Amino acid sequence: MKSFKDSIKSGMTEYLEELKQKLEDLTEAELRWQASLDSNTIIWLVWHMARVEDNWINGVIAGGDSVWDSRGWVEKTGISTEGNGYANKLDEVRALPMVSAETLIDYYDEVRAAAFGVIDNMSSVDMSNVYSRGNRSTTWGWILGHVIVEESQHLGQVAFIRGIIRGLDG
Amino acid sequence: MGTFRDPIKSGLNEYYGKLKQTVEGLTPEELLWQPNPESNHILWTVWHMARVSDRWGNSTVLGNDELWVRDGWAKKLGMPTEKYGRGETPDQVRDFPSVNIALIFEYYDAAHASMLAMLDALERADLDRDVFAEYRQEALNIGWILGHILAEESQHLGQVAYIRGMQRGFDG
Repeated sequence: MKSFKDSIKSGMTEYLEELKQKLEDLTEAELRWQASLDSNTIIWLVWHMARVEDNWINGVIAGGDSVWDSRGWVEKTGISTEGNGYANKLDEVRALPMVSAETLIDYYDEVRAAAFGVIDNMSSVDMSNVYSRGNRSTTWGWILGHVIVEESQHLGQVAFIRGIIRGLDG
Repeated sequence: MGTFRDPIKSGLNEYYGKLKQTVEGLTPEELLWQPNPESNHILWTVWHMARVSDRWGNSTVLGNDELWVRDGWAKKLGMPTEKYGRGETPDQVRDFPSVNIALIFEYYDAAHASMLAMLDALERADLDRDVFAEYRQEALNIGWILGHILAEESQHLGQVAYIRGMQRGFDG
């Protein structure tokens, strides 16, 4: 029998699969195109999305190292930026080292495999576990919902930028 | 004690609360601005998001009338009852009437409240059930639909935020 946990996993599967479709055939220039000087690029968004999921689930919830740190993705991608991109300035977005979408998706696939392992091991009582940082605290349950909402927002942006560049059927 | 229903509920409330913050203070011109002639504008996107919430929750999952029809929102907003947004052409998006966004949010508030009530009432056994989504001509699993609603609505929220950012810049 299905559970609400499966709905969370299928939402996560949906946004990652759709992200892969939206990246198909994009050129290096398109991946780095900015809609305005203050707008994020597609490639930066893909990197940020993978880092966000890695940090929330493999880092915060599992209480371990992110896949980024533990499996050498700084070396593999050449991205030495501290953090996961949160509140990056626009010159940081523009300065993201040359990295292919395929490499970032390879990283994202590893993040996802680890994250599903973490979620599979979670039980209902874990939903009430509290995570505190500074003067903010939230629950693991909130984090799972937040991951879908945040990641899907960024997917929507990737799709929208692609649409600005390529038009409706591109 | 928590359940895995909690993340879905808090996700629904998170995207909806963020949407309201993101449209705050936008002028009618900003709401209708399109970055290219084939791009959706914010007003259309917010309206479509409300329709998505109403249709998935009330019509597809519960098999009831949409509030859009039942409570006369189509009429109040001066739009056809079958209008939903999926597959609309750039011309239709451009010709979208410049309705008051506050009125769209009155409709959306009602749809969102009914979505939360639906989620509360669902039993675990319901998640395995397939329902037929007439407008998509396919049977879909209720468990899948719950995850999809979060993913679809949040994508559109991300677009609204991005279009705002294009117009207002980083801190606007």
